[in-house]
Amino acid sequence: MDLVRSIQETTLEIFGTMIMMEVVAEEPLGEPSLLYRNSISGMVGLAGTARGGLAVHVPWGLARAITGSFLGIEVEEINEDVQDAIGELANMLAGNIKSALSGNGKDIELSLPSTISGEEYGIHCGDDSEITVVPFTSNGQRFYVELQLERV
Amino acid sequence: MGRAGRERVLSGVDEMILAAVTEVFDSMVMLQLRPGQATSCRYEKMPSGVSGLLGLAGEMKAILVIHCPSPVACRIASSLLGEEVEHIDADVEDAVGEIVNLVAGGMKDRLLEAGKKVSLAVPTTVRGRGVLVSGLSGAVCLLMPFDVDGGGRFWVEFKYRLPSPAAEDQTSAEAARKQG
Repeated sequence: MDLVRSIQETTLEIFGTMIMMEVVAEEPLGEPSLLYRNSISGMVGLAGTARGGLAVHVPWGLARAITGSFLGIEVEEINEDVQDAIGELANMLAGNIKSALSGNGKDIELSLPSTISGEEYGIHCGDDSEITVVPFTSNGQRFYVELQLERV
Repeated sequence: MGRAGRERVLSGVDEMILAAVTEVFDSMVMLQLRPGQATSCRYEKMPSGVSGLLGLAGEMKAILVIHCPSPVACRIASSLLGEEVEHIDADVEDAVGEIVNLVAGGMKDRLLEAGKKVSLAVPTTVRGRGVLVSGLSGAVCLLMPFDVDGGGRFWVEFKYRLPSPAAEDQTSAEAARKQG
């Protein structure tokens, strides 16, 4: 299955129908190991017939814009609203992608989302996982959707 | 004790966290711990270091996060690997990922005893500076500090959401019919 295409389609659909922001998909990164600066990441675990996780990494400025558009409010700073919105974004992306991974998605379950925000951080998962990172741009800023799947 | 809004609370979760963490540190890490009081999660800046995350899904959705400031992460890795580790590197990240995996395994067993069958996702680690964490609206989030004998403190965050009572009644009715 084409994971990159699934990630691109899912992300464009969710931004088009739920967040109401324009997004452009870019080509996947060859080297997925990135350091994120002044960013917030939403992460959700996948358990069941496919194990892994989905993460979305968003710079603070764009995270405020996404939260504002999603919740219909002005967002001045990185606060609980932004954490909830980015966690929910990860949740929606994972919900759609699990359907792409397994027919109707019934045999894959999602954990709760968690968010981490920092001035500079890197994300690492085990060597036995396959990682796909797809960049997108919105409002002139770049964000990343990352899917990790355990090799079986 | 933390109770986020009107979310349903599973009793004994704090004892499960305590038991699961203590078991791993007693048997694998070989470091003595002094647990602190569990509180509800606050929007808070954690010291820079390594955090390990692992999702749980099934009859309850949850996520377990262990936040280790750099010196504590190095101590845990040193003790687990049996060699002195002074700087955060891939081995330290792997050690924290392994700890979160073991603790989540202990939580899975205890949740099953409490009637909640869950399965585990895979661990992810975050290495960073100025990392903020917080709860999630619509979920119960417990934060428990642990002091490591000889110095240092790490935090265990466990966030969960129980299915709505209606959905759960339906599930037990289905289970009863299947057993019937």
